Amino acid sequence: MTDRAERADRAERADRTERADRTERAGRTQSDRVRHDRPLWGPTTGTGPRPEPRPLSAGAAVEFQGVSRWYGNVVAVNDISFVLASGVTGLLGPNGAGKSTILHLLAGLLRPSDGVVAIRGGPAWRNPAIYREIGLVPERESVHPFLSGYEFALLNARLQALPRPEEAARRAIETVGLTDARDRPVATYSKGMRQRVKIAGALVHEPAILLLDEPFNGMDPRQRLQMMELFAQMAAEGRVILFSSHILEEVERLAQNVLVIVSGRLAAAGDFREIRRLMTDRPHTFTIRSSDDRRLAAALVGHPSVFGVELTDGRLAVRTSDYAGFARALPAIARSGGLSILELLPTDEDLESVFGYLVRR
Amino acid sequence: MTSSDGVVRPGGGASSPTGSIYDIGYRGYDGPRLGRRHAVAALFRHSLRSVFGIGRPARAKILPLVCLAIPALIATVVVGMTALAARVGAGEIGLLPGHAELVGVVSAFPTILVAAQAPELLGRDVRYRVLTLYFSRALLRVDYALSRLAALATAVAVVLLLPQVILSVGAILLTPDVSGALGRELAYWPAILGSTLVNAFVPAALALALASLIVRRAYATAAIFGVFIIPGIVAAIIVALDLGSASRQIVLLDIGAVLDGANAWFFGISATNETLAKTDVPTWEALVAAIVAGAGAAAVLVQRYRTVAA
Amino acid sequence: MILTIGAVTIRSLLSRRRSLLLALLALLPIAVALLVRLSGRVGPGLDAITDIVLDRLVVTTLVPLAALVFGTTALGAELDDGTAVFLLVKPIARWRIVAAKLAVAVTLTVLLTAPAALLAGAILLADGPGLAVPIGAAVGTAVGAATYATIFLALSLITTRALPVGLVYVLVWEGILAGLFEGTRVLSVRQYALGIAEAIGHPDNPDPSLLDGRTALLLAALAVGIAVAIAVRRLITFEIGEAD
Repeated sequence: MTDRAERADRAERADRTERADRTERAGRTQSDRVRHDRPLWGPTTGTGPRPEPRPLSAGAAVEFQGVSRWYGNVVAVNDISFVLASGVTGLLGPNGAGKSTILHLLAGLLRPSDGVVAIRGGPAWRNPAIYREIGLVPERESVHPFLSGYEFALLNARLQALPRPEEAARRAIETVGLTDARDRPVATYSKGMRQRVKIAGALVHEPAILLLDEPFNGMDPRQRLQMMELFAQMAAEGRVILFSSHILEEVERLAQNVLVIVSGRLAAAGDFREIRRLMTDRPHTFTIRSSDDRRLAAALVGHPSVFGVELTDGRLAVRTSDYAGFARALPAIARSGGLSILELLPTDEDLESVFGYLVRR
Repeated sequence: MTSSDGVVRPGGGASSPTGSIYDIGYRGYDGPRLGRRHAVAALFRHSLRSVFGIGRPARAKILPLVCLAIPALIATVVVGMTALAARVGAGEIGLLPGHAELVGVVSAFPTILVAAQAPELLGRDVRYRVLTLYFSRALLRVDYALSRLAALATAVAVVLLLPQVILSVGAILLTPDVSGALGRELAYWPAILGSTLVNAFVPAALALALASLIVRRAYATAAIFGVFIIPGIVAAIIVALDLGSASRQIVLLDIGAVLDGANAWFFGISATNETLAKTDVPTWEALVAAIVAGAGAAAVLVQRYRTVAA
Repeated sequence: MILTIGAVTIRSLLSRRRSLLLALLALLPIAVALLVRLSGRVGPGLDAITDIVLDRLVVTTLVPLAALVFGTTALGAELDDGTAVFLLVKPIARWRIVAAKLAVAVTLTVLLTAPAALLAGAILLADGPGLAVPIGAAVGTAVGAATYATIFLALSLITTRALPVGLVYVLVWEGILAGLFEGTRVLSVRQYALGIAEAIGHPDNPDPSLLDGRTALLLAALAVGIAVAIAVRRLITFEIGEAD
């Protein structure tokens, strides 16, 4: 093998070994854990089916503890617990899963039927003081159509009792990029502009916690990118940003952590790549490009961790149940056959696959 | 082809990908299509149910049921008192309302019903912008307007007829001479039907016309209410001033008086409404005014829906 | 804060067309009063007409109507179309929000009706014994307007159908039932207004069928107090409508 390929190979091996070790560690705790039809708890929460009521995490900005919300016989939110730290968290789920309900519970607009919703240690319900720290961008609710964009931001600034509301309003409008349209009534705005003016209204007091319900609805790609940059920047400043979406691409791009909600339950939480690795009951798929796909395929089929091999399109698709085992075995197999691996990609570690697995459970 | 676990298995070899689409169930509809008449009938039925809150949550039923129940109750009380008087031997109580007077006694309830329900009928479709869905079917714009009108008028008619039926049944059951009573009651019914027709159609048309012009339901209800009541008070004042025979025509702006006059014409009695009675305006004039008002309102309604943005 | 909320509320309540219509409505009693004067009617007939104008037109019809419109939509319209959320997620005590909305509803209703009562009464009784009756009418109207507006505002927080319910109250309760039984006078806002007007207008020989002025004022204050308490309580425990 060439030098370069060997180095690449070694680097790959080292990388794979490290990840394999991590997975094994996770896998060990995984096997002690209960069956996979229970909700998975990610790194940010405790493990186990139902945590005992704990004292609220000191200093945690946003916390859900065993929160449920039902309307008569319909359970909209079913025993959800999580803690949010600074950074961007995506609230992901199909329509009707309960994302809006969770955001409304966090914003103190709904009373939890069970459990505790805590903002900075205090309850969210019946506690107007939290609104100094929170900015909410609701999905459906609209702005008074007769107000201009600037006037709306100004109204929000005044209601927040800011010392210099005009300045804050102007800054907020500028931040969302509505300076040109700010004196026109909101009734003349496009949908994306209306979204942005709502965001401006929520940013006016520079809140530490930002709750957004499908914020990129109706925005064109350029506006979306701008808003994403804004939120990423705000998160880097230490704010807690939670946004809901059912568009995986948005969440994948922006969120550092995800909370996956399916039918009111928390199906998974944490970094979605880690979540994927925890799902060992789903076969992993990899795409490999090598110097000789066919021979590699033949060699791989013989290995116990591989249970599907496919030659398609100039690539080799491999399905394996044992991530760690395969990761260790592949370089050895390749070397013993005198083959070079040119490309190795996991194909279903993207959020879409993870999400699909979670929803289809 | 894509199988359920997302793995693509091409049908042909790697060089000639094939694909097929399977018919998994979507079918166009080739069967018979019910036409415009059925659409109108369906909308009528739906509107009528909606006015009485059928098919809506319980809260929506309260008001229409109150409007239905109280006049019926009043009629029942009248029947009861007549029975009591007969039992005691006091003879007929002259003050009790008969068929003709009953309309005046319960006149508040058609007003309440149309003021509350006309904006409900029209407002939701405009607010949620579903008119396009209606008009992209066999239903014409004028059909929509008239169908809603027919439904609301029918609902008011039901509210007005129920007490009349109770009175008739009571009268028949109370006397020993059933066939005679039956004959007497039947004689009333042409007048009852005519009066009910006018007293149902006119308020419904007026309320719907106003509701079609004022989108916000709360304001529409207030406006309907105002239009039904305020001219009456003003007319009463002007009539009391006795400014001359021309000024008496002002009473024709009072919807309550006009409807009462129309009712009086059907029953061949003189007007019971105070204001109307004070003027010498003949009852047929009131009837004509009522019909004109109703037709005019219906025209406004239809025209409004011809031009409203769907 | 209250001013800020109040300003937005006024802007949303009074569009140009609406303000025009309402102004015309406020002028109606005055126009009628002028017409009556021009007709030259005097004596007991005039008293009867004055009664119709001030009682039936203004107090019984215009005041509840205006109070219904302003009272139920001052807060209710925003709750209905969702714009209330932006107000609720602010660090403002809920009673302040209620106070602001109430101030607007009451002020608009009173401004629409009390001057009309005053002027109409003054015109009608221009050669009468002083302004006691018109002033009484104005004050009674104002108290009635404030009470109605407060009750309907509280109602708008209890049900989304506040306006029809209020209508039923006005038409059925105050129109029909309250007139039937004397004891129910204490539960009728119209009676409060009339009682106060009578106490100021005819302090020496008030009409005994009406409530005594002090009692009326007390009852009105009580009604307002209860309504405000209910409204604040409902706003504190307000939950947003069902999300998806």
